[in-house]
Amino acid sequence: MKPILLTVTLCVMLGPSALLRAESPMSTLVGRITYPGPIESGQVVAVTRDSSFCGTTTAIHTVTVNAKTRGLQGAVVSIDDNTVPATDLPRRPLVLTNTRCAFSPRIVVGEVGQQLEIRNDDPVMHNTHISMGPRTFVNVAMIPASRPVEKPLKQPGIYLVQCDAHKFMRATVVAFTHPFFSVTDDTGAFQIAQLTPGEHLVTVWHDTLGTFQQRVTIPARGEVTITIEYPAHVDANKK
Amino acid sequence: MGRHRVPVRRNRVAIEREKDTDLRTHSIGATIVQTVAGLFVVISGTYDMSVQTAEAIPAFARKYALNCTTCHTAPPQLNTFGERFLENGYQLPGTEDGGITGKKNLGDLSLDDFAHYTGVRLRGNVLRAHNFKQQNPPGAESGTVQNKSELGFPEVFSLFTAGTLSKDMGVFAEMESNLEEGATGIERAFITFNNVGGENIANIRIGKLDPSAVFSFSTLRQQLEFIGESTNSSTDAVQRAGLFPLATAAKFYGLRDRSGAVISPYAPSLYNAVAETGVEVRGRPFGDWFMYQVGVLNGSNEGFGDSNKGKDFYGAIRLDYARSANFSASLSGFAYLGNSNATVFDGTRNVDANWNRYGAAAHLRYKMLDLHGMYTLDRITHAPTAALSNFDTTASGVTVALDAYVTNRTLLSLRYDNMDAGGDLTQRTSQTFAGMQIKHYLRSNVAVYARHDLNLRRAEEGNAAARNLRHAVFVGIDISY
Amino acid sequence: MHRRVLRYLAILMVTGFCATTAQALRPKDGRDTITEGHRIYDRACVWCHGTEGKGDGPSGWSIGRYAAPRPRDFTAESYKLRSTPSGELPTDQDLFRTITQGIPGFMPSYRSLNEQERWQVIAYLKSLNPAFEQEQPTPIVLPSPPLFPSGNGITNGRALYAKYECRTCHGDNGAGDGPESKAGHLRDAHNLPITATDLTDPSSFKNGATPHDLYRSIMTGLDGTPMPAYADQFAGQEEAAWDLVWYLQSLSGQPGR
Repeated sequence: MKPILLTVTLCVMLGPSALLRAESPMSTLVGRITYPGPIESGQVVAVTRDSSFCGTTTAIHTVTVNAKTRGLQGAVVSIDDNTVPATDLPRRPLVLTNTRCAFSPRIVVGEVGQQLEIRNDDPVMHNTHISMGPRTFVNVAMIPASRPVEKPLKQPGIYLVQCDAHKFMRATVVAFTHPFFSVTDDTGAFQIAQLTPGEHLVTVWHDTLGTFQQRVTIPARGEVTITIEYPAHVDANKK
Repeated sequence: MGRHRVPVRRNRVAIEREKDTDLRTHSIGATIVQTVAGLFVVISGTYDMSVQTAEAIPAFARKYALNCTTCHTAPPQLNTFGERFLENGYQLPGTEDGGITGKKNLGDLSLDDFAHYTGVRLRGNVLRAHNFKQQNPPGAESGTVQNKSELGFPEVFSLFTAGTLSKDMGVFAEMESNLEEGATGIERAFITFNNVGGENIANIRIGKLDPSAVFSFSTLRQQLEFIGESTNSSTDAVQRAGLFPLATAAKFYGLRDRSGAVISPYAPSLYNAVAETGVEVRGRPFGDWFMYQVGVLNGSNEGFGDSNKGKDFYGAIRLDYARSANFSASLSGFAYLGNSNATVFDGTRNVDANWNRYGAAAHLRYKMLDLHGMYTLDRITHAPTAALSNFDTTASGVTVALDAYVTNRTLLSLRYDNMDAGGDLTQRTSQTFAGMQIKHYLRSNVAVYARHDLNLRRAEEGNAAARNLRHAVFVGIDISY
Repeated sequence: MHRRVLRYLAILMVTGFCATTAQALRPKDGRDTITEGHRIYDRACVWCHGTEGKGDGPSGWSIGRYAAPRPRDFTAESYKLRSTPSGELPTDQDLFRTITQGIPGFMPSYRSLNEQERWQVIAYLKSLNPAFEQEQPTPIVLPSPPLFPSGNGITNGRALYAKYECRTCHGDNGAGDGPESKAGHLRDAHNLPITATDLTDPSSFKNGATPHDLYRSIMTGLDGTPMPAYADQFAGQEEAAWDLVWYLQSLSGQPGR
């Protein structure tokens, strides 16, 4: 009798709060970043080393836009003014791979405290050199079939990723102090969950086009779908 | 550098120019183009022009294992760190490392390796070319005023030893052999006692010294080297104008030293002399922003000893600002009071006069730019009126120079020189020149240069040497090791 | 028994005395130390490193002019000469070593400042960068070099030199004339042109030329330059790293020591 009573009491106590969590007024922002153009195929540069493997030329400063959806790929969308504390999920390392003489993915986003794992899948040597402003984050030699190198991201901000052996390789790591960020996929789509209702400032950053911000109103509960159009001529130096 | 002290040596200019027929230049323009083009054909594409390598040679570079540019903007010009090093008696600024760096302690004797004290400079114009408005004017000796080019390297060989004997005791000695002047001797030599009475309270120099060493404009640190004038060996009249930082020059025609020899109007003199014998004290007792300097000398152009009881005195003040990014500036003023340090010929004999000078200078350095300039005003006083009836007792000079590194290895220099001459009314001629030089460092201690000096008064009438020389072109080599 | 006790007591006293003396040479970190360090800095260091420690002193530009190196910016930059992993700040001992030895070609040795003065300057330098308060730089393990290279040591080292593609920058014979260096592709953190070290000239090594120094340079890399850290590559096989050190020394004609 007593155990049953205890169990029932506990269920009664815990149940509603569980229900409340399931029905919490958290919203999800689903959207697409579009760019009216022009689609830039980028600047073609010569490959100065290992061209037998890397090819003779490559393109940098590309702006990749989906022909069908006009979606902008590789834009980092974040909301910095969300007040909900993040849930404590175990975080997998963020993987940055040297592959085919390029960094993959070109944009890595994560949270402060997450491990960044650097790999080399190429049969040539890369020298992955990551810095934020004047401060080096890490500069490691990665020989072919090298074991991965791990280092935690301790500072928020934008990290520049380069290879000193292959000057045309470029990537970015963006670290936030919160988990409310996303990177647009090849259709330009993104999703950020766990948002409190109300007005928020959405920041969109692209490594060639720069920063753009827009106010968005998130309704209580549920999903809100928006399309944000990146203005055609944003100062690409604004970071 | 050139000693170029008076008296103007009578034997130095009447060198016969026998072989000039096949060296005559057709036009100065052709010479300039040929030499500069030739120079750049030789050097272009051969050397890494963008990136510094750690080649370091003479005395202090050896002793401290440093490149030249730690202390120099472009040798011999100093950067701010180098200035403070010199002021501290060749000790690192803010330290008293004279008894420590590089020293071997042998009982109570403390000595450097000799190489740590020693440096050599070998330089000269491989090619000199002069162009005149009127060739062979009356009064000019044969071959001295002709459009021609001359081969010349080397011109000056300097051996110097410098450094510290112990903590706060320094020494400097320089021997120079100058083929243009036909003379070899001790150029400067002095001993220093530093930080007497506390850090930078008083620094004493004793010996044959250059008073303007710590001034905002230092005679011996010009990029465009002294080019001596040519004077007539019998009459001492200037035949071919000299090329000097004219603010430092004597600026008087017909002024004589105490032994009666004519002082060249071009000779760096008084406070701006290359070297005079005396004692000097200077310091920065209130901080880096202010320096005082006072000195007493035997007198102007007193070779050895003092030919009279009178001493010359000088005092200078310097204000510094070195607190901004990549920038430093200084402003200085001096007064030099001579005591029977010159003579004027009154028709019968040479009579004593006081030759005084006052000057102000400024120096600005910002990254690759080095701008410095000076104005000097000379006055002859205390001479009998009779002696001065044909004599202008005032002279002034201005020099403004700009040096800029256009690449890591190429230095561009510009200099403006103006002399408002004084002295003998029949001889004195003002002079205004502009000089341009491009100097390329093949290595940090080996440079080649091409230079053009242009007479800004070349269109003016008159046969004086200062008007007659229209262009001068020089191509040379400057080596230190 | 009595004598043994006295002996141990004597050893204890001597050790204790030595320990306290060593401590006494290094002043306690604190306001006074930093103020003293600032005073020394303003007379000795400001000319290159600048009044705010940003590496922009009145003579700073002269050092490298249009190319690397520039004087260190103590307020925000990474430090090049360290015993800590890539991306980390130097230890106090690293800073002490740099000030004491200088950097050949570019920075004089400040051995002439006494030890206490050098520690005071270090305290001031650290106060210029808030990261020193937030981070705890930990040096890498620096094992002792074997007394002599093993039979195949230098040959192994040569193979490592090839495997890690050191020739890319340092050249086939270590003369600093590798293709990337000669082509002018190498840039430092300020995007200034920089060349690879000429490994045949140990007198020019900024991080030192002893076996330990070479080991340190290879393992920690030189932050702010293209020279990467190889610690992860050598993890678990430090002996191989010493083979590379012997090979590097052989490039300048020094026998492996």
